[in-house]
Parts: sequence; C-alpha cells; structure tokens
Amino acid sequence: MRLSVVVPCFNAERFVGDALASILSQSRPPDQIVIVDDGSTDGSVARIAGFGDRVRLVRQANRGAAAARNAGLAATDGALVAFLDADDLWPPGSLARRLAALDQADADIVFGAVRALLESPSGAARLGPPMQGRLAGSMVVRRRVFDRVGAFDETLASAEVVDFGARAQAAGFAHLSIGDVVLHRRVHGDNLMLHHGEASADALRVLRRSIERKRGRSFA
Amino acid sequence: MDLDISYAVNRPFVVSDTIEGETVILHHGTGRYFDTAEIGTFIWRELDRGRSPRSVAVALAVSTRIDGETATDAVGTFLGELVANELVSARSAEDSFEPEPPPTAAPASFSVPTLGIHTDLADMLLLDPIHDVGPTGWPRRPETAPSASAADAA
Repeated sequence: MRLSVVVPCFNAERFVGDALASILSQSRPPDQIVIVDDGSTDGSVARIAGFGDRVRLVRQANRGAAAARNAGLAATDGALVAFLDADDLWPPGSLARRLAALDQADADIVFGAVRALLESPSGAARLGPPMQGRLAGSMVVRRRVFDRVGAFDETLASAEVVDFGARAQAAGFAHLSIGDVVLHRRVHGDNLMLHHGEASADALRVLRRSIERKRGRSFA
Repeated sequence: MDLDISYAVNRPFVVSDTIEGETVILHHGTGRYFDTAEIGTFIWRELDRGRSPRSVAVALAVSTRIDGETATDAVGTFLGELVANELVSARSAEDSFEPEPPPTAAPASFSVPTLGIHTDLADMLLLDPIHDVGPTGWPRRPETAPSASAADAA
C-alpha cells in the first residue's frame, strides 16, 4: 500500500536536514515525501533543496502548522499517511514497525512510543525515557480517516492534532498503540509554550468540542 | 475539608474557560479535562475569586432559597472533587487572611453541582506537540484565523 509522508516546516533550518535524512534512511522508505514550507524566513528552503528530487517541496505563505499539514495532505496521494515535524527525527525502523502493526491489527491509526530529544545549551543531546502518546509524528493513518472526519482545523494555532485525534475517536476509528519507539521529539528551550495563554485557549476550545460531541451536539 | 479557608486554582497547570455558564477545565499535568455548569460554574468562579467555601455556600443558600446544610454539603462535596483532582489547593494561611472579595450574582435555582471527568485524550494532551523551532516558529496563529473563544465568566 502506498505510503506518503508529510513534513511541515517553519524556520527549521538547523533541523530539517536531519529530519529528512531520518525519513530517507528508513528500512521501509515511503513512496512519497512532501515537505511544506510554511513561509520560513531562514535557510530552510535551501536546506530542503539540497535533497533534490528525493523530496517534493511545496511552499506557501505562513498559515500555521495545521494549514501546512493540510497542504501536504492535499499534495500527496498515498492510502497511508505519516507526518514528521521538521525538527523531529524518526529512529531506524520507525515506519516499518508501525506499518507491520497496522497490517497485523487491521487498524486505521497506529501510534508508537516517543522519546524526547533534549538539547543542552552546549548542543549536546540526550534522549528522555519512552512515553506512550499520540502525536502526529508517531502516527501512521489511513487516508480514509481524513476523508471521513476532515483535515486539521486551520483555525487552531496548536492542539490541532489533539482535535483530529478526538474527532477520529468520536467517529469510531480505532487506534493501536505499540511500545516501539518511533519518534524522537525535539524539546527546545522555549518548548513549554503549552502552558501559555493562547495554546491553552486552543486546547480548551478543542476539549469543549470533544465534550459537546459526547453529549451528541454538533462538531461532527 | 476546611470550608473556612480560601482555595486557589492550581495555575499554571490548571486552565479553564467559561462560556454561557459552561466551564471546561484542563489539568496540563495529568492530561485530564473536566466540565461543569450552573452551580458548579458558580462555585468554581467564586473559589477562584478567593471566597471561602463557607461564604460561597451562604450565598448559594440565600440566592436559591435552600437550607444552609444542603448548600454547605453541595459546596463541600464539589470542593472535595476539585481538590481530589488537583484542580485547587488550600491557600496559605497568610493568603487566607486577605479580605474576601464582594459576592457576585449567584444562581436563582439549585441543582446538585457535578464535575464531569474525562481521561480519553490524556495521552495526547500530555504530549501535545509544540511546533516551534525558536521564538518566531510555530505555534503561531495564522493572521486570518478567528480569535480563540473568549472567556465569559457570566
């Protein structure tokens, strides 16, 4: 089954090369890689261009992560879709493990475990303990899920993946979680933005929708 | 449960939003989220304003014309759930001696306050992806997007 990978990128010059290399070196490489540059103002595009025709670059004015993911979805055609943020990494075997689990369980969405990639100010990196969690970068999803529940909500500046997961869950799509580590998620110094007001407002908005769905009100 | 001291919302881990009397609360540290309405929203708001549970119960008894014991039980039970879920904590003795703020309008009819507890998205909320790669990176709201829901504590 054809597998597409979408890489949303915004000002990830330092990291995007490693991210793309981690995709290309997978034991089961994807059939299609589309990277969506969301109006980067640094050297991201030049770094991406260095990968030649192994990846397809889509450029757009800055519209946010959800819009970048959606542009990637629209530009790909695989029946299976995976995402990797331009500052994160897939360890070897990441895709193969998720695809094997997806096939074996006949699931619609599979997630693997995640390790935080922690960087010190000196540039040294270390990995945190494995954590189970549903993130875009740890997911492989059948395109039919998006066809049914819709794409990412572009009015959200954050929590758009939580929103998608909640909608998929409410629509009855089962997800499978495997214990294999499939994503190294880079944690930056200012990575605690989750607690900032705007990000919290988005999360609360998503959760209100989830509660409304449970009550049987709108927000399909 | 001491009803004569004041309690504080466990910020920054706990955030909430009230729209048309329905309150949604998120605990970033546990990934759990909660909902309440009507009397529950009133208690949540008044506790957050620094009023003691006892004072909130008195206001509730007066506005809804229920007996004081029923009001006190309702507020105490609801407070117990808030504390058990780490949404509020007793303020320090020093803070508790601050003068209470004036009361706000209380509901006119009584119903037992309930706290809906949701754990279905905890794993996603605990690891909610942060897209930024620096001060100018994600998350950044698209300029054309509508603003987030405004809190309406009415």
